[in-house]
Order: sequence, then C-alpha cells, then structure tokens
Amino acid sequence: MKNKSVIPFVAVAAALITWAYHAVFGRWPMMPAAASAEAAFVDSAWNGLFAIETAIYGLVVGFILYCLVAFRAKSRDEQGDASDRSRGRLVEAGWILASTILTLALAAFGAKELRAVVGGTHADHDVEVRASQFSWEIYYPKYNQYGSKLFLEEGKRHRIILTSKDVVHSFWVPEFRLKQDAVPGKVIHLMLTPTVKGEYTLLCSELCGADHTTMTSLVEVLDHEAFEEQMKAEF
Amino acid sequence: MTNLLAALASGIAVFALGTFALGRVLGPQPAAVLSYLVALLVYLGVLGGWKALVSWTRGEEPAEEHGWRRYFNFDVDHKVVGVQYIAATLLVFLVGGLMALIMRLELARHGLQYLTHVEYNTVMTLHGISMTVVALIAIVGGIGNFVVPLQVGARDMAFPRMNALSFWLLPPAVLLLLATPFAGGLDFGWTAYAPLSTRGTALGKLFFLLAFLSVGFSSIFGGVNFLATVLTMRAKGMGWTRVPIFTWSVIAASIISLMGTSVVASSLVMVVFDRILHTTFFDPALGGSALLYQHLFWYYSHPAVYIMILPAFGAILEVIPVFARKPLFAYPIAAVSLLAITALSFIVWAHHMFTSGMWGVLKIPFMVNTELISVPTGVVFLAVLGTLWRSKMRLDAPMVWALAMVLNFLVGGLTGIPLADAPTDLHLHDTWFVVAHFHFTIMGGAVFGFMTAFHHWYPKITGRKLDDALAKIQCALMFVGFNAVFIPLFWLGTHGMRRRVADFPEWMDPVQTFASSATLIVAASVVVFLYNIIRSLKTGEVAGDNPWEAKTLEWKAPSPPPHGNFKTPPAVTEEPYGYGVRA
Amino acid sequence: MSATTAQDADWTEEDGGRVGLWLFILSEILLFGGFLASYLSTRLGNAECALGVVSWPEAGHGASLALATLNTVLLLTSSYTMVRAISRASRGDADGFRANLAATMTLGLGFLAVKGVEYWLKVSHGWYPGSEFARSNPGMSIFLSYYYLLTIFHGLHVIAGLVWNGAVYSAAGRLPAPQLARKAEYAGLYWHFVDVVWVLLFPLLYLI
Ligand code: HEA
Ligand code: HEA
Ligand code: CUA
Ligand SMILES: [Cu+2]
Repeated sequence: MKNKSVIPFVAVAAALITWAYHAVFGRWPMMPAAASAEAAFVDSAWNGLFAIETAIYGLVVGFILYCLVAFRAKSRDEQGDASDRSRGRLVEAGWILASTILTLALAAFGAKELRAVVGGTHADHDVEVRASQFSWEIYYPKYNQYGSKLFLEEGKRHRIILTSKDVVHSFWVPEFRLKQDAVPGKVIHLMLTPTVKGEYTLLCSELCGADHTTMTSLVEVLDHEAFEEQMKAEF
Repeated sequence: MTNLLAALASGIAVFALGTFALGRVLGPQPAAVLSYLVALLVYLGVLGGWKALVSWTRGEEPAEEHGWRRYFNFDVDHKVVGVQYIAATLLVFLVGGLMALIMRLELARHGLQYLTHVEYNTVMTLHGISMTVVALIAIVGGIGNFVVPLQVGARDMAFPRMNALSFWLLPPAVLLLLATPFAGGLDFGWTAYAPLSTRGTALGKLFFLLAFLSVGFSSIFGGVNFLATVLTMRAKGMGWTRVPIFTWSVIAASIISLMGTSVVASSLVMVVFDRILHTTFFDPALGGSALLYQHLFWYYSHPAVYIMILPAFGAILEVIPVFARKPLFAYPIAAVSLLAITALSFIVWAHHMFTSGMWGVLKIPFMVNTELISVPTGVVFLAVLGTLWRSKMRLDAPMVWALAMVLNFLVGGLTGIPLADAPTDLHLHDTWFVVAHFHFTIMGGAVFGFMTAFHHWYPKITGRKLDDALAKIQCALMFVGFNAVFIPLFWLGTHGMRRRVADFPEWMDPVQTFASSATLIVAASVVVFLYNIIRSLKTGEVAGDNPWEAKTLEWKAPSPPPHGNFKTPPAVTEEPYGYGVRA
Repeated sequence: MSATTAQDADWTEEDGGRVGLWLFILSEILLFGGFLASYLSTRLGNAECALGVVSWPEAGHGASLALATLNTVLLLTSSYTMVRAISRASRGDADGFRANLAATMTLGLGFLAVKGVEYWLKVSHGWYPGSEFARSNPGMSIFLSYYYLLTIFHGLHVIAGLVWNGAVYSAAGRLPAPQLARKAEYAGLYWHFVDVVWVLLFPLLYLI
C-alpha cells in the first residue's frame, strides 16, 4: 500500500520534468544548429541518452523527496524497520539486471551511431589541414592551393587529412559536431560532409600552449559553383 | 614547530643553492632534479625521519610525543597523521579555491581583463592540480587515517613510520606547486600532455612534474599501509562480512593507488627524462610516440577519479544508516560493487582519448566498459535508496550533507554517460560539458562526501560538536551556489566553450557572469565552514563518545581516542548496522 | 556493529611486514611494467612512430653484451649468497649471516662498477641521447632513451637494495634472533626482486 502511494509522486515529478524540459530547451536549445550529415547521428545519440537519463534522474530524485516527506523520525528514539532480507534480494537482482540491460542497450545504440558517424572511406574532396603552434594551414591538393581559411563544398564528402608540426592540437567545428586531434608523427583522416552553406569557426580544442585560446580559423561552406570559383581564385 | 621550520628551511636552502650552483655545470633543469632529491632527503631527515629510520633498524617501538607540538612533527600516531592530512586538505583547498576565484574573475567577461594567456593557463593548471590533490587525500588520507584503524579495532596503522612519511611528502609538493608561477608558469593543464610538457626550458614545468611525483609516492605508501592494516590487524571476530562499508571503500581506493600510481609515475619520469637528458620517448621525429603518454597517464588518472569518489561513497553509506536508524540496504553487494568499480576502472582509460586518433575499433570496448561502471555505481545508489525506504530519518547535519552529495553525484554520474558514448563525445570532448561533469563528480561527489565524513566524525576527532544550524546553512549555501555555478557550464560546453581558454565569444557573457557571481556564494559557504570549526574548537559543546548512537567500533573508543585507541582489545560479536533490530 | 571487550580477546597483530612488502613490490613491478610496456609497444613497430617503422639497432653490441652477461652472473650469484644469508639468520647464526650478506653486497657493488664501465664505453662513443650520432639516427635515439631509462632505474633499485642490506647488516649484532630473521627475509625478498628485474632487462636490451 505504501508502494502504491509512490505513484503520484513519480507522476508529478515526471510531469514537472517534461514541463521544465520544454520551458527551458524550447528557449535555449541544447545544441547549436547542426550543419553536417554527421551531426544528425551525434544529435540523435544525444537525444536518446538525454531522454533516458532525465527519466532516471526524475525517478531517483522523486524517490528521495518522497522518503524525505514520508519517513522522518518524529521522536529521536524511533527506529526504522530492519530491512527484510527476502524482499531485499529480489529488489537487488531486479535493479542490477535492469541497469545492466539498460547500459548495454545504451552502448549498443552508441556503437550504431558511431559507425554511422565514421561512415565509409570514400571522399569527393581531399583537404590537408596542418596544425602548428598557433595556426591552421589548409592545403587543397587537387587545386594546389594554400590558405588559412577552410573552404568546403556543400553536400560533398571531404577527407580532412590532419597533421601536426609540433604538439597535439584538435580540429573542432561545433556545428559539425566533429572533433579530431592532430597528433605529431601521425596522419589522421576525418570524414566530414557539410550540409548547410555559411560561415563557421574552426577551434583548436586541445590545450597546445600559451596561445591555444587564439588558435582559431574561419570555415566557409559554399555551393558547387562558388567553391570551384574560390579554388581558381587567388587566396 | 621549530623542528618543522628547520626542516623546511634546510630543504629549501639545499634546493635553491643546489639548483643555482649545479646549474652552472649541468644546466638548470638537471640541477633542479638532483638538488630536489637531495633536498627532500635533508628535509625528511631533519624533520625526524632519520630518528625514525634508526629506531626501525633497532627494532624499537616508534617514539611518541604529546601536546599540540606533535602536529608539526614527524609523529607516527595515525590520529595525528589523520588530523595533519585534514588540515593540509583544507589549506590546499583554500589555495585551489583562490585560484578558482581568480579564474572566474577573468572569465566573468569576454576578452582579457586581468590575466595574460599564460597567466590564465598557470592559474587554471594550479587550480586543477591542487584540487586534484585535495580530492585524492581528503577522505582517504584525512578521515581514512583517523577512522579506519579505529573501525577495524587496531591500535594504529601497520607501518606508523611510513604513514608519517606519506604525509610529510606532501608539503614539499605543495611548495613546489606554489613556486611554479614564479618559475616561468605552466601552460599544459593538470594532464601535462606530452609533447607539450617536454618542450620549453621553464623550471616551473619541472616543478609541476616533481610535485606530481612526490604526491604519487605518498599515495603509494598510503595504499600499502591501509591494505596491510586491514588485512592483518582487524579485531577479533571481524570477518569480511563485518568490515564496515567505509573501510571497504578505503580498501578499494588503496588497491587503485597501489596498482595505478606507479604507472603514471613511470610516464612522468619519462617526461622528466625527455626534459633533462634529451631522451626522445615522446618525440615522433626521433622514434618516440606522442600518444604513448596519454595511454600511460589515463591508465592511472581514470582510476584515480575513483580514488576520489569511492571513499565518498563509503562515507555516505556509513552515515546514512546511522541517521536513517535502519540497517544498510544490500550491504554485501554494495561492498562487492565497490570492488567491482575498482576492477572495471582499469579497463576504461581510453574514454579520455576518443578523439586522440587511437585505433578506431578500440572505441567500442572502451565505451562498453565505461558505461558498465554505472551498474556497480547504481548498486551504491540502490543501497542509499533502499536504506532510506521505511526508515526513521534524523536530519542532522551529516545526513543533510550525505543527501546533498547523492543529488550532486547523480548529475555528475549521469552526465558521464554522454561522455562515455563515443559519438556524443566527439562533440563534447574538451568542452566545458566535461568541466561541468567532473565538478559535479569531484566537487559535488568527493568534496560533499568529505564534508559528510567531516561532520560525521568531527565529534570523534575533536571531542566537540559542530553547530548543527551553521553546518546546515553552509550546506545549503554550497549546494545552491555550486549548482548555480556549474549547471550553466554544461550548456556553454555544448555550444562551443572550449576548455582551458581565457577568452570566449561575447554572446557568452551573461552566462559566464552569472557563474562567476554564483562562485561567491560557494566562497561564502567556505567562510561559514571555517567559522563553524573555529567556533566549536573554542566553545563547542562536548560531544561524548557516541553522539550519533552509531554502532561501528570507532564509537566504542573515547572521543578523542587516547594513544593506542582502545583500553582493552575489542572483539566484534554482531553483524554491522544492526539498527532497528531491537535485541 | 557493537563490540564487547571480551576477556579472551587480544590484539590481532601477526606483523603486517610481509604483506606490506609484497604489496610494495607489486607497485614496483607496475613501475617497471609501465616502462617495459612503453618500450615494447614502441619497439614492436607500432604505427605511431614518426618514420613508420624505425630501424632499431641490431642485437648484442660487442663489448656491452659481454659486460652485461658478466653482470647477470654477478647478480645471480648474489641472489644465491643472499639465500644462504637468510638461512643463516633463521638459524640465529649472526656471523654466518653477516659473512654471506657482505658477499652479496660486494657482488652488488661489483654490478654497479661494471655498469659504470659500460656507461663510460657507450658515452665515449657518443652513444647517448642528444649526441650528434643519436640526433641523426632515430632508431638509436629511441633505443638509447629506453636503454638508459631502464638501466638507470634498475641501478637505483640496486643501490636501494644495498642500502637496505647495509641497514640490516649494521643491525645484525643488536637484534634478537627472530627479529633478525624477519628483517633478513624482507631484505632478501627485495634483493631477489631487483635481480629478477635485471633478468628481464638483459634479454630485452641486449639479445633482441
Ligand atoms: C570523482 C571523479 C569522477 C567520477 C566518479 C567520474 C565518473 C564517471 N566519469 Fe568522469 N571525469 C572526471 C571525474 C570523474 N568521473 C574528471 C576529473 C574528468 C576530466 C579529466 C580531464 O580531462 O581533465 C572526467 C572525464 C570523463 C570522461 C572523458 C571526457 C572527455 O574528456 O571527453 C568520460 C568519458 O567517458 C567520463 C565518464 C565517466 C563515467 C561514465 C563515470 C561513471 O563512473 C558514472 C557512473 C554513475 C552513474 C551513471 C549515476 C548513478 C547510476 C545510476 C543511478 C544507475 C542507473 C544509471 C544508468 C543505467 C546509466 N568522465
Ligand atoms: C576537487 C576538485 C575541484 C574543485 C572543488 C573545484 C572547484 C571549482 N572549480 Fe574547478 N577544476 C578542477 C577541480 C576542481 N574545481 C579540475 C581538475 C579542473 C581541470 C583543470 C584543467 O583543465 O587542467 C578544474 C577546472 C575548472 C575550470 C575550467 C578552466 C578551464 O578549462 O579553462 C573552471 C571554470 O570555471 C573551474 C571553476 C571552479 C570553481 C568556480 C570552483 C568553486 O567551487 C571553488 C569554490 C571554493 C572557493 C571559492 C574557495 C573559497 C576560499 C576563500 C573564500 C578563501 C581564499 C583565501 C585564502 C587562501 C585564505 N574549475
Ligand atoms: Cu592548438 Cu590548442
Ligand atoms: Cu575517466
């Protein structure tokens, strides 16, 4: 009978959370606007996790709040009832089983999205991105063009070929949801498919020394014509 | 006192002179390393380590002193060492907090107001490392040293002299860290990734590495000591099913510091060699490997985070049954899951390296292992919730702290999952989402856990009570302030706020300013805390042996316990946590 | 849990020394484990090397191989004398103990001396990290890096072992037999550990 009386509390908690969810994230979305094919998968992974975890959070907090209301000692010498082992065993087993299944499910889901994000190795454009303290150098082999600004073609699949001259740096464009370190002595490929024309910032997101803060550069996603133009033009 | 000053003075003198004199011949960095080793020995020797060594070779009992002076000496009583650890923790926490205040001041608005980039990095790194040290030593070193021998009914730790040694290794480390800003500063964060950390000739970076190594050895010795104590000195009748959960958590943490620390030591030593002997471990141009450092570092530094949190779990699981007046729910599997966390923690390290360019296929197993840790951690939560159910809660300060810790850590833990999830981590890695995650786990979990333990065992340690109302006010302030500071950081992180940068786009200003102001609330709570301690030491009411009516062994000893702890050897005759079972 | 202070109860203190020592040695093993894992992972041509597969120096470089073999013999013998020392101590024969321990320590010092000669040879041929020769030859540079790292650290452990033995040696007269036996056993355990490490290093640094 006590167990039943939990239900309204859970319901209220759930209702509150959903309301707060819309109130807050309707106004302040959780993620910046997505601008790459990969971002879609990252975001779906995120949304899945967020939903499940909000539920877990709500249940746990709701339970604690209920206990705070229902199980206070009125006089100091009151004692709670010694737990009854037989019921305990069942709860333990159930909880462990549930959380194991849940975690494995989450991991499987994550693995699936990861494969989607990484995708195949086919690419329309190769772009070499060379990091060094504290600047980015971009090279387009096909057009033999150098520059510090990263131009990408809308809807095309790019192979970003990352190298570093000195220490570890990291390639990150929030709207693309992709991050990849540039490691000295290694050549690392990052597959990237921008889907929305516009200007973005490329951020170095691995601490690389004094001026790590300022190690940023511009990214511009252009449609086919503009891109070809840009590649012919002088940088 | 004089003793300590002499030791520090001679140590510093040797270090400074040695670095200066040898520097001419060997170059400053090798000179610094050599003279640090010598200075360390001199300092420990003068402090009383030499006497201890001699008495050991003679097979004599360690000498014991009396009075307040002992707290400034190479004293071997585990209770003295515990108090020393707690005091040191608070001091370092204040320093780290001061750094945090400076950082938040700079971060209150976009652009650079007060610091240069390098200065910001230095402050940020010092904040990170000093707070890491705090979290590592607070509960295990402080509370653990005081409580564990009492809880298992022993007279002292297995190796009292080594115990003192592991504490006295800390002051030099702290001094080194405080010296770094005046020795060229630090630009590599508390993780000190190579090859960044092998470059440049600034002595400051070397100081950082030496300090980290000293702390490392301190915690190895600590680990050996705790394990030996619990394995060989448990009171008569204390089988493994009767070991209190807090002691279990310290066992788990000690296993980690034993099996992890020396590996991170190896990586730091290699960095030091690269700096002073021109070796090329991390220089790919000369056959080295840049990723190697990250693997070695995280092999330890991930488990290290469980050194911080496991004792916090132990503390709240110890406290909650006492104030719920009800046996600890699922006690056996809770103890087992602490060990399960320990085991798992060694096979998840690469979740810090999802974007590092390591072999892609490996991401999957590391992702699965990491998320599996939430199962044993979940069991800890089950134990908490199950104990609260149908309990008769007394909301004294320790209980309030424990509940606050649970609420905070829940957030920290759950936000760990998106980080463990490879696809989302591609976006979240090295953003402030991570920063918020680990403040919710370390500060919200470990520091709040320390506060729980501190308020719970304070009467045993000092024989006096803290003011309950003040303690609750402090808890409220810290809880509200802390959440106000760090909840917004999650959002900033997903929207492009990188870690370890002093500047950010203008549109972030409102949120950043809000976080900075909220820091003052946390600061206020800290001030209340300090006031409460001073007040109770002066005029606090006398607590008596067992103010909380708890049933574990430490409450059988007088408060504060005398040298040797128990008048007569105790023997355990009951299951732990027999609350509510009217016998 | 409630505790009675029963009459029959007594302090359970079978001394933790042995346990503690083994635990400490475990952490030492992990220290060398870290070094060796790095050495092997770098050496077994892992893809993370700058120039793809770095050409490592081929095994056994003349003089140093001979010296290293000599050193192996020295340490193994010292282990044997150590065993003898311990058995003497357990029989309470302090003088026999001292004699054998002295032999052990002499062999240990011998090891260090030989090591010194080997270093001197290497350095005088410019075989050290940061030398012209090493800078122009990645394989040598990284090999020498690990060579000096591992041997220096092993050397330090030999010295530590010697100090420990020395302490027990000086204590041998004063201590009652059982205590001496224990201290001897511990010192022995550590010394054996140091030898085993060398037995691992020898093939890894000189034979492959
Ligand atoms: C006390 C310290 C502490 C603790 C306990 C944790 C706990 C966890 N941490 Fe965290 N972490 C840090 C401190 C800590 N962390 C620090 C300092 C860093 C940054 C290092 C740096 O780069 O500077 C970091 C970084 C970090 C990363 C790297 C992020 C990045 O740089 O990209 C990851 C990724 O996997 C991670 C994951 C986790 C997970 C999965 C847990 C899990 O243990 C959490 C488990 C708990 C729960 C899940 C909640 C309770 C469980 C239940 C209620 C059961 C039901 C739940 C489910 C079934 C999901 N952490
Ligand atoms: C125990 C761990 C711990 C704790 C408690 C804290 C506490 C706080 N931390 Fe921090 N933090 C870390 C561990 C911790 N931190 C780590 C490991 C990093 C990563 C570093 C890295 O990336 O390398 C980090 C990084 C970090 C950053 C990110 C820096 C960056 O990436 O650019 C920020 C930013 O806001 C921050 C803020 C804070 C704040 C506001 C607090 C507040 O809660 C602090 C509250 C305390 C006080 C306000 C002290 C009050 C003191 C007084 C009032 C008296 C002071 C005067 C005297 C000394 C007498 N911390
Ligand atoms: Cu480049 Cu940070
Ligand atoms: Cu981790």
